[in-house]
Amino acid sequence: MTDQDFLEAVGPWALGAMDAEERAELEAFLAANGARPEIQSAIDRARQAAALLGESLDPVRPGDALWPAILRGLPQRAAPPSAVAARPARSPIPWLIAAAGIAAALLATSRATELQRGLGEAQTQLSSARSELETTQRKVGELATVRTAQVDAERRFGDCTRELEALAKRSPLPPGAISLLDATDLKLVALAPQPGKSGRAVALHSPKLARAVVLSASLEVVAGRSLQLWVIHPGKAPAPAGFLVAHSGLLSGELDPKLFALGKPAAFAVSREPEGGSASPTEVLLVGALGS
Amino acid sequence: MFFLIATLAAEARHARDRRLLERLARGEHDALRLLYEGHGAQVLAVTLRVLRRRAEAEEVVQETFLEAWKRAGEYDPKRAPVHGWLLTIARTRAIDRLRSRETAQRTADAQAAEPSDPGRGGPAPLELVEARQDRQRLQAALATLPAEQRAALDLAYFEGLTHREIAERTATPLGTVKTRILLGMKKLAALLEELPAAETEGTP
Repeated sequence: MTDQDFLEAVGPWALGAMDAEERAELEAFLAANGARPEIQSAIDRARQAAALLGESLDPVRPGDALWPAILRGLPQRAAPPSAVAARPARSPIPWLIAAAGIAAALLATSRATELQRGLGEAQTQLSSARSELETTQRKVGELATVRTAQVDAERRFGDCTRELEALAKRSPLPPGAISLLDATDLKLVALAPQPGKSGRAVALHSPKLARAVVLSASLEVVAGRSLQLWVIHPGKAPAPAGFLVAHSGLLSGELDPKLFALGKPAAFAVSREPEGGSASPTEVLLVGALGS
Repeated sequence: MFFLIATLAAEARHARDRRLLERLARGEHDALRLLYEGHGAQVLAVTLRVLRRRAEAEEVVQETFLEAWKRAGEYDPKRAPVHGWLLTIARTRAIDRLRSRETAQRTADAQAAEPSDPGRGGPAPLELVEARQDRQRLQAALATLPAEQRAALDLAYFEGLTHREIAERTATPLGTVKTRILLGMKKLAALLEELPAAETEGTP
């Protein structure tokens, strides 16, 4: 199997559609080549592509008993963080058992008939108390469930609020980006990670204004290294176009407008370079091609 | 602006998930709870679609999060987003369970399929708006696949059928099935490059 054969077959393999003999052939190739980064990257992308089928399903709310079951299955069991620490209801049963015992002891006395009636009453009370206890325990359980649901809802609301606040904090976009948002021909260019790299970025691009700003919330900033921007024209070497810098929790940078005067770019890129930048990219992190 | 926010929101969610996995690897139970709250409903959607039995599907969800708990330290964010990692675990376990059933039983299940549990189904009420919008865009994109390709992909992904089994099930030549799967996966791979900003220009 050649690399090209593998790249054709990896999709059906990741989907689990291969029959045994096809799978054996591909897995023999992987045994010899699986450690190569480009092969690993192709496998990861194929698996992620297959997972889109699962991601497209509408979510189904799990039953209330599922989370407690997961917790119970953990190696070291812990109480649910939101569980209500309900104080156990004080049971009247020991009291009544004692009362019944005393009554039984007194049964031996000459007042047997009277005490027997007392024992009967105690047993009735015991039975009633048991029933009351069961009712109370059930109500405590229901209350705990309601309280748990309430705490869950509050927690989720808090999560949503925090996420919105985080986004709101980022909303003061760099001035260059804000002015681009009014461009009537605004396009977004997704800059995707190169094999073995992580992070994403998006470029706001106005061909009419010949301007573009790159934004990222996920690229890692490394001390002593710069995140350098590049503009790539068809058939030409990447041209250095500026740097990404932190701004209001986002990394942002405007591509050098002069480079747009050289013609329509084919792609934008981000690389990690020694501090101050390089004349040509050494460690390319992200690339985004421009459409026609 | 909408797509910019969608892209940034997706990045923020992925970053939050990665932090949760780091906390999970340190043994923090609360991180597992947050992960479950964020992805449990999607994982259940997949296991229910595969197994079509609510109780079994929930058991597989339980196994999936326990496996995530045990293997959090092995998770490599460069290889897959957290939700994709969880769905892969869940789908693999669900298919294993499905295969362990008798073939006749599986056929009977498929004929009496319950596409969802109407009593308790439906999206989680507090699902983030951005996540719902991402999914709706994905559904719209998948709807553009030719019906035969989509059906072949679904049979492989959700029922664990191989090329040959799909050919037998659908009474279609084996070569045709292989072509449909191949083309369908190529389109999914192209979609993957475009998401989460499906309206953006192309990526390499």
